[in-house]
Amino acid sequence: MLVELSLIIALYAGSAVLIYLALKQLSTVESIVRQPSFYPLAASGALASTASLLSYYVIVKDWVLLPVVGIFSFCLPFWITSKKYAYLKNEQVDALLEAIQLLKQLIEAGGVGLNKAIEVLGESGPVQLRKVFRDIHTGALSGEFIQAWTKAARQVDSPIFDYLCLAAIVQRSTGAPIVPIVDRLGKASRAAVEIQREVSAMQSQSRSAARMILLLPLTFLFMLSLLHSSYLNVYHTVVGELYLMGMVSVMWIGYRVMLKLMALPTNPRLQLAIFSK
Amino acid sequence: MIGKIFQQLIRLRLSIIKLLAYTDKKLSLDDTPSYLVLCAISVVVLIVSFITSRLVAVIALVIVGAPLWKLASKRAQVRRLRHSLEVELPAIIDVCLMELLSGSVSSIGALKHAIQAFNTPGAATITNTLEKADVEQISADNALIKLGQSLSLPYLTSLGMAIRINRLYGASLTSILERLADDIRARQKQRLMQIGHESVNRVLVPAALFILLPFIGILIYPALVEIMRIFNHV
Repeated sequence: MLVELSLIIALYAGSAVLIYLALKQLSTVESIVRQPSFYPLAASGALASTASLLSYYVIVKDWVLLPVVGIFSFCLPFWITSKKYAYLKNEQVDALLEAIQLLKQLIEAGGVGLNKAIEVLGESGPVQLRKVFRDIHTGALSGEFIQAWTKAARQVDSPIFDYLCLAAIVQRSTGAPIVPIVDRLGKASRAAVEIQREVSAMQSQSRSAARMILLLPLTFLFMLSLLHSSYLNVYHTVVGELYLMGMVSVMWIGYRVMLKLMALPTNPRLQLAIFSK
Repeated sequence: MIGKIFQQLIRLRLSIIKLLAYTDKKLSLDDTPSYLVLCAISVVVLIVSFITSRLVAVIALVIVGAPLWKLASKRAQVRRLRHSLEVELPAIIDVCLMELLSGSVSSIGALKHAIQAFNTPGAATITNTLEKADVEQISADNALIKLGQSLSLPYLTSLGMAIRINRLYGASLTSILERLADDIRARQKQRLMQIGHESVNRVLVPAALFILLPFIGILIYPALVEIMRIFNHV
């Protein structure tokens, strides 16, 4: 028992370490949010899955829910990192909106040029985007204005930043005032973000309900298998197990369909000609 | 019978090709009723030919299915183009405004510069339309209005109108364009709200069918098996 327990703890610890490393890789201070890589998460999922299967078998001494437990545990690291990624992306959007507001104020009220404003943003703008603006400023000083903006747009990977990049490049080539465009960009982006968050809050009720309904039968079956109820005997046959798996799969697909139907259309990134050069 | 089916198939193919040529030339989806009728007739003809003979069904599929598939892809392409233009238009107008505010170009010149900044099918379509208008010596605003009408994009039509007013009466384009870009964004905002509010109700049916029903299925399965066993014993 002690050996099994140590093994379970070691497996969970290994999985947790891998999740921690994946989360750390997503973003550090002053760096851009990056997509989580698949392999560490898959390894973490495999460890968590093995640990969960082992602990389920040790505690319950039954195999009815083994496949469900295995699959859910495997998906857990992916779910955790995707939540963190979405959270960081949201923070990045906020930082971007703040940067646009600051940029507008600096140019309009401060009376500085675009390059100087970018330099100030690199020094004391939103923390997440300081490095991006510093790189743009360095690029602009070394005569690689367009390349610096293009590289930054690729890194930030947001339609709002693409738009800012476009406005900066057009401003440089035409000398037109950038403030009206930056102002409208800020207002429009803020309005879009506001709506998305409002609707997301509105939908959270349906999403939680779906999650509850999805987990309810599994919890019920878990309790029954913990009590070694004879009600579950039918699921100990191959047909019963296949039926259970089929039903859980249908529920999972239904949940994914629900999420897809609730997803709001997001603005795609601007396909600018300078990006393909 | 087979002769009559072939006659109908050829007629149907010609109608589909005619519609395809229309969609291709006009980039328009205003022929949807005719398209739906043609689809319905094609399905009926394919069923009839399948009942008559499998070989006839295969030939029918080649004769009618191929152009119908091409027409469907063309319509999907037009729909994508419309969506892409809807998304890009505020940005195009903003860049156009910046060009105008710099005071170095005409309204059409500003529009052409703005479009050059984009690398999308929508921007390419506007560029083609303006080049074609140059060759055919039609004014660019007219060409834009026609494109907007055939794509059912009222804001593209409005852009053409604004340029026309500027060309004919010298009215300031900047304020009109500013309002146009704001209008488009307000419309996008409204649509987003509408989709968001509707989505809460849209998930009720999948929730009932795919989540609640299997949930009940899992719960009552052991009881059902037991009842069946009892009945079998009886």
